[in-house]
Amino acid sequence: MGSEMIGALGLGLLLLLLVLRVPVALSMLLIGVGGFAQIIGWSAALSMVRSVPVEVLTNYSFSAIPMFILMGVLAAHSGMAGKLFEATRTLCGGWKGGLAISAIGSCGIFSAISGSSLATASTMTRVALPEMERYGYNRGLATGALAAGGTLGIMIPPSIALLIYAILTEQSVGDMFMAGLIPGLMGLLFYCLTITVVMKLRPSLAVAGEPTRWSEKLASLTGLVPFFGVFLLIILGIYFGIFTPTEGASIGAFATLLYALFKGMRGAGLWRALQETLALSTVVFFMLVGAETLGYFISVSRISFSISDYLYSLELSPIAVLLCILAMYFILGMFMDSLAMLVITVPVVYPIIQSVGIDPVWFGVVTVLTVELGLITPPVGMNVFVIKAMAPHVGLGEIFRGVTPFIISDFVRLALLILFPALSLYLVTG
Amino acid sequence: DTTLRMSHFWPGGSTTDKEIFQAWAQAVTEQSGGELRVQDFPSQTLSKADDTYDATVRGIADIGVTAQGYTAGRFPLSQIAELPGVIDNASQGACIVQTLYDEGRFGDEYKDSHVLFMFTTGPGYIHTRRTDVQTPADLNGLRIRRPTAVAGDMLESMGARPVGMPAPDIYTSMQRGVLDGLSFPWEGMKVFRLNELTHYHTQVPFYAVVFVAAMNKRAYERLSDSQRAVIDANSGMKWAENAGAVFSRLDAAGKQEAEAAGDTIRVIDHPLDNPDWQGPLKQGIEGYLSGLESRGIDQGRDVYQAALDARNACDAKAS
Amino acid sequence: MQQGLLGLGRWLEVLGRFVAGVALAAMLAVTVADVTLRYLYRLTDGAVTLRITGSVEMVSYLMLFALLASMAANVEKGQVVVEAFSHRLNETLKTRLNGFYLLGFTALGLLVALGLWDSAVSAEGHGEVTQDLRLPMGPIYAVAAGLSLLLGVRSLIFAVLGLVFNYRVASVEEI
Ligand code: NA
Ligand code: NA
Repeated sequence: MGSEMIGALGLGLLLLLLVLRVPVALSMLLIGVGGFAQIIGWSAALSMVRSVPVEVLTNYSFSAIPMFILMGVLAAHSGMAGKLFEATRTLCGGWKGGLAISAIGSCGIFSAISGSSLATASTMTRVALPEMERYGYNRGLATGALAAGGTLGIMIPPSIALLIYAILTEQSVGDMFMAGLIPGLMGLLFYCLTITVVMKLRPSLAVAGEPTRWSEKLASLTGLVPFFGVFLLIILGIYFGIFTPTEGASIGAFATLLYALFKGMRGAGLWRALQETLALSTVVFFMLVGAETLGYFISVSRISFSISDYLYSLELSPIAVLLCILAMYFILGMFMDSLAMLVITVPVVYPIIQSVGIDPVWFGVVTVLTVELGLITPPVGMNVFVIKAMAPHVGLGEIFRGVTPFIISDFVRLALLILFPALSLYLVTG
Repeated sequence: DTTLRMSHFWPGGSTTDKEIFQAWAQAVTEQSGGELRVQDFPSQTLSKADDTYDATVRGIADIGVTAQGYTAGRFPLSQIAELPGVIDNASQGACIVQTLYDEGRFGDEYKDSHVLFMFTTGPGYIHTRRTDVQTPADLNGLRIRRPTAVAGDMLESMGARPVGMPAPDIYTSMQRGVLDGLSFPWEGMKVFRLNELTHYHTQVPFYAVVFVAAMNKRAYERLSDSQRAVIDANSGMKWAENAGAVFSRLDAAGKQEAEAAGDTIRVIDHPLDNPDWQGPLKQGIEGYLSGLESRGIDQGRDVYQAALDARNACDAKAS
Repeated sequence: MQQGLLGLGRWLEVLGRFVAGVALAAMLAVTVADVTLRYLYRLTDGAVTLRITGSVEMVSYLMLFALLASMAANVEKGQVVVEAFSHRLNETLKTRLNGFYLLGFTALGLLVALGLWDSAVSAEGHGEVTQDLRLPMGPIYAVAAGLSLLLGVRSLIFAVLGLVFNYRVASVEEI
């Protein structure tokens, strides 16, 4: 059996394991190791799985994940998040679905300091989900909005995904970041519109708040102060070069810690916050370890090579090639982690793109948007899993249903970006 | 026929990937009449850069290419070639390390693998955003990203503050001013787009990075005699020189890019003879070599001398 | 027997949580101290020269300890399960399945522990050190090996508890 066949079979088996209720992380691990062994041999496969956890757990860039989770946990425990949503509730007043919209907005702001979708999704879930539930929002809508909002982090700069794409294809990192800005902000706008549309179609999913007076709205702004104080600290610190985005996560967590201390949190409470952070991080990192293992299997199966060879043989027009490649990304994205997918496939696909004359920066943007979709599409959607981990009482199916309108909105955005390359290229200098 | 998996960390489709590794793969396939096929795994898709040598020893990859410096302390003798005063350009560097390896200077550092060939980057220089670095005093307190521990030692003895940082973080950290500068050969400046952000370049050769292309021992022994002959014919100095030539070309292109941008370039060709620079660099070399002695590795000074001799021989051969 | 296993499982959980909590707090402290001292250096134009070296690698290895220990302490609770097609399975079967799947993590923990131990021995032999602080890699790998062993052992304990005693872990999520 060819290695590509084993690759395809492996992805099928992965689905089966998930259906059999095997934990997601273990499913990816098993298929990753088993598939790797089929192609290369057991001794190499066991050797691979031995080193993957250390590789993932010592990856400095990932250290932002537990720190952003800690920030969220402390913000939640110290009452900061409660105040924020009290304020946004007042600000939105009688608006239907206002909290979901402000959650999306917060995700957007958060994305501007975070390169990682998972960090964005996990922190905002800690902060926003309990509040939306408290105000009786439909859980599918609430978690769907958060899962989708989390994906904004992959496009709004800084973005680890765009950075990796730029380095893989030897494009300018600055250009890639600028190219991602408008599409990212479009995502923010489109998600807010999506909520408005959903509210029109299914008014029962969220309650309208009580109308509020302008004086109340103004007074409520004080509730935003600590939250935006931490945000500003991180943003200014990064933009003035006092710390890196990765360090910014720790600084944000520390500032929130000071706030919590100020609000009277002490030893036992702090220890509980640390333990909660660790428990939540564990869920994410188990899956990252699984995804990395699976990634090595996909890599040696060369399944992406055969797909692109096939595309090449069809002699299609550039736009058809682009659509085929995006379709492949969409399908792979159902199963795989976004960054692993980029790293494995871009080197293969990029030469095709160059040979048919597609702009590499524009291609990068639409590719990253498609890859980002993979974070929220079933059956393997990392953002959805993260939220599931934070909200055990909400069903996975419920979250995936809730995220569907946002997937549709992403398709609209993708179509616009394909039809109007200027949306991506306008801000790119030269 | 036999398939060999080759793992390295350079981006797929990059010049390094195409002109060194894919070219090597093609040569091996053609000369074996299709009996040997090589699958290229670029961009750390088969093993991470700092795990690649081990992954090769353990058989995850059949062939692994990586920097010895990514596992600090494991290849102490090989890294002597990284010290200042040894390598002037990448072609010469490849010739030097391959010569030292062929002479058996690296002790038993590679006893658990079958080495195919070795090569190096061109010399690494200092690149800064705002500071015109003309003497080591100008470096005082600047935060400079260091590539390997050996280069970090040199930076430290020149008065800079070396910072260890993953390569993908460099660009944004430079942009935001978390880093004041970095050390790279010209080639890396172009590949990582860092010429965009740096405007001062101090072309003082103070380190290089050594690379090894190693093969899994069992994978090598499994080959038929004729297959092994093809691998042997594509090992050693010939491919060291090819790789060196590729890096030299990339260095030239990287420098050209900075020149075209009108950047300030200070050239200090022989820092060990330069009154401003020789102090800290000699101190760094001494620190490294005496560090080896304190670990019980006594032949360090001999290897450094052998490297200087090899350098003269390589220069003579080239001219 | 069941009580003994449960007690041991809980005790090892406390151990893992302790290591993880301390390592996570240390991660935070290292970065905050590094950033603060760096900023002071800039503010005082170089007068305050106190600094932290190697913060990136300290954070990396502390994260390894924190998360390995935390994975060991939370393995039976920290799993996401796709329940799309298994709503109607009865509780006993689900509990036994959970126990069975924990054997997978037992294998993972033991394999990784073995690998790390090999790495520790080999790093010790080759004199491998970290890039910035020149800390010996051997002891770092050895501690990590111990934490992976903890992951393997705790997974095994709860696998047996689930499979044999039908002991249900409270927070494995229902959908
Ligand atoms: Na972002
Ligand atoms: Na998906």
